[in-house]
Amino acid sequence: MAGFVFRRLGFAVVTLFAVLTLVFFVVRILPGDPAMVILGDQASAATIAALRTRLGLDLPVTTQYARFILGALGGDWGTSMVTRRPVMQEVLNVLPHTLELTAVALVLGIAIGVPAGVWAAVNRNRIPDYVTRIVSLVGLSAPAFVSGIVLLLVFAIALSWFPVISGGQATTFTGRLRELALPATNLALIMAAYVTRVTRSAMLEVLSQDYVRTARAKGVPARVVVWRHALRNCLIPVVTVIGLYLGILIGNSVLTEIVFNRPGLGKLIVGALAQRDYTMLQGMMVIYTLIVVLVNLATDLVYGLVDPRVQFK
Amino acid sequence: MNDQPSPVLRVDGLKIGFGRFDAVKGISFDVNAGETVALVGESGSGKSVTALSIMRLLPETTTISGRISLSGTDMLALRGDALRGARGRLAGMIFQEPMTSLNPVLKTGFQVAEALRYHGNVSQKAAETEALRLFDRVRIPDAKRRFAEYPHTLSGGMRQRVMIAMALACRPKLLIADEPTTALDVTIQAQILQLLTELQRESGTAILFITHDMGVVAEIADRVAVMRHGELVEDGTTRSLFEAPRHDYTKALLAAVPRLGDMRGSTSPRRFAQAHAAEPVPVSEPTGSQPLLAVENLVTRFPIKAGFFGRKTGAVHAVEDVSFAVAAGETLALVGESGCGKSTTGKSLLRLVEPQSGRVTLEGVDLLASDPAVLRLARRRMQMIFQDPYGSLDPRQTIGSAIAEPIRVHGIAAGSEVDDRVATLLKRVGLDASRMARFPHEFSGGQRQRIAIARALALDPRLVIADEAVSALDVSIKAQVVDLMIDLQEAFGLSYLFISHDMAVVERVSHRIAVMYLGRIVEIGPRAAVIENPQHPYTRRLLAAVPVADPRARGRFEGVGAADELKSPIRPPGYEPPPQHFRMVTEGHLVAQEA
Repeated sequence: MAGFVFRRLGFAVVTLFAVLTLVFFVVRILPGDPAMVILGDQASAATIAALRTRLGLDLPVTTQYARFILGALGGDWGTSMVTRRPVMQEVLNVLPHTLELTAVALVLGIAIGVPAGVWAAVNRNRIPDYVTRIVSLVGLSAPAFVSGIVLLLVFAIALSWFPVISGGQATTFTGRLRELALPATNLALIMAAYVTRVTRSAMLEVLSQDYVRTARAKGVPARVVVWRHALRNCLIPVVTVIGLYLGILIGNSVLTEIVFNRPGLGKLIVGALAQRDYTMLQGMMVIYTLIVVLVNLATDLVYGLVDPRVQFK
Repeated sequence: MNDQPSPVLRVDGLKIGFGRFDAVKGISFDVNAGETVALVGESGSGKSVTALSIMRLLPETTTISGRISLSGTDMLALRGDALRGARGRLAGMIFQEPMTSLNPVLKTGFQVAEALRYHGNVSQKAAETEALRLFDRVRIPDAKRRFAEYPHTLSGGMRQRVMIAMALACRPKLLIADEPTTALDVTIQAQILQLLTELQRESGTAILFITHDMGVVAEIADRVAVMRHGELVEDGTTRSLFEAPRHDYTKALLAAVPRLGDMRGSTSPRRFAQAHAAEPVPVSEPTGSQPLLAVENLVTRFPIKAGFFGRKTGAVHAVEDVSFAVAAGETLALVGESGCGKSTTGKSLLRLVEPQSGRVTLEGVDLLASDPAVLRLARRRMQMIFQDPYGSLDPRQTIGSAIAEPIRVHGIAAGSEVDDRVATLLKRVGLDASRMARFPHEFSGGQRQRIAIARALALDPRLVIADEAVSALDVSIKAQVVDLMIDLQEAFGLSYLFISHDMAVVERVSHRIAVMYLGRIVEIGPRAAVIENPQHPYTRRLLAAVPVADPRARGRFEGVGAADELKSPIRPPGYEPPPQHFRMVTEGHLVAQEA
């Protein structure tokens, strides 16, 4: 198990290295000279040349690459072209907000989705099943920015239960929760829709398995059959979908952060894109890669917890 | 019938319907304390549905009427928790598929203990102590260790023992066994049947044994009830039913059962159908000096990879140094239990799996050395029929087009000529040519296997590899398909490589038999020699384990109730097995020497 984690982390380093390399070359293949982009097309040739020297752009590509990789590994991801602050620092400033939002959304999504899916499967082709299926379909179809605005209109503006702008400024625990409530619910609803549908179909399959019949034949109560015998067996596909969904969750968090005007990676990346902040984008690509790799590792480890047949070799 | 103490199970006028389909049409029977009643029938007879209805395990949409009384409790009247409490306490149940009947994510010991937990006030600790005792009772070796393991680490026979332990946990008066040995190898089947007999002797549990196998019935049952199309056609004591069946269906069923030893003193295949009973099929002399198919030192291994970089950690030696020959017009049977490499051998010949080394020559052409074009031509001469007639036909392709496909692909005929050929082939396998435009789901299992045979014959092959081709079929259908294969052999001088685990069928169809064990041939020779004078200990064990459809021959399994572990053909990387040496018993009868 420890060996497995260790090897997988080694694998993560390799992936990260590949992404860094890709990022480095992509930025250099892009049309336009970064120095010229930074200074604008009115700058004189001398100023551009000076900036190129300062950025190290006049060095051979191999030297630039070596500097870039060593810098990245040492935590130096360069300086934002717009704010002139280190990229690493900018990212670390907002990362907790995004992690907080995603984690709460994840927990909420599972807490709603799994029971709803089980409920639908157990009541297959009866009213609870129809209701769950329709609601989850709506959840899947509604874009994050639409559901976000609806939540704002109803709960923040009409009912005034929660703040309109969840700016991440609150210092008390309850204050933070109040700020988190709407954006996290927004993300969680979409996530719950996915989880419900996967849980329902996995559960339907498991309920028709021979071992469920065995459990019923020995007189195990229906509730125990569902929650002990069936649920654990249907968790593998559910965990897979949750793992995959985390990628979508991060994508949706971009929209949610903008709608709710929350600081976070989403807002940072949109800003960087709008302002062509290449160094910032490089840094963001690395951080996203890292997140995806770690989520995959966590997913694999959870498989092992759920299913004894999974072996970590 | 002895009604004095009231029966453990009384089924009276039971009717079961699924929508508008009546699966069971009013049957009645009793099971008395301490006796074993076999409920026999072919697929679709309603026997399994009956078994499930006793425990009320059928879907809620099923309509059930009549009376099922289990130890005096009216099972059909029970609702909710009362029903749950009756399950497992009044009767325990074991199923056909031990591989899927245990929950993969719960430990075996826990699953057995769980059976006790929900009946009466039993603590987890007490339940586990009792469960461990049950593990010993069903003779699971090393019970303490097995107790804490997950089902996937156990073999099929071992899992079925765990199922039996679970079913007997609450000391029910009745054990319902729904085809409990059908998915097991014969030697394991013998062990499980013996175990059930012993347990019954110890505790006096009545057994309702559902099966399609008359051999198993003869081994285990005191009384037999024969079902057909949802009706009970005949019941009686096992002895009287086997010796003097009254109903025509029972007679036909018994006539269709291949009995090992039936063919004593003859050397050629024989049809089941009475009309041809005495008529042997002559073996056509081999053409020229070389056999049709020669296999020399065939080796097929599958690497086992593990770890991050897929390092090779071992290999399954599926086929190890296998040599045999098949003459024109001859049937060589390849027998053995699951995992012995017999199917892999068949697939290796056609290069459906790639062998490591060896030589396979068909009509003088070396198939393993051949380039794709030659191989393609060779495949025309050698065709395969598979076990599952449902899985091997494309559900969206009409059967006519399925049979026509090889003809078109190999450019044998074109235009209306193709249809003519398909019609001829269908007629040849006993199907109506007008059904050419139908889809596979419109045919029964036996008919589909006929279609598969027609498709195999479309290219006019010399050799047909039949991989468990009749194993999935009901007895009477099995007999018909075997007869058809013998007919075709006679008509076209076909050779068969007949891969099967069913010794009794093998005895019917084969001229020669090769017994495989752990990837190797351990004994090969003329049929009569191998069956009547088996030399290798494994061949003897295999033959002894075959159930005999004769209640007078009972009790041969005495002493085999203990489990023995399956050996595995997995070897460490780089392992080279020692060469095999054969001893000649008589002309053509070779036996592997034990190292």
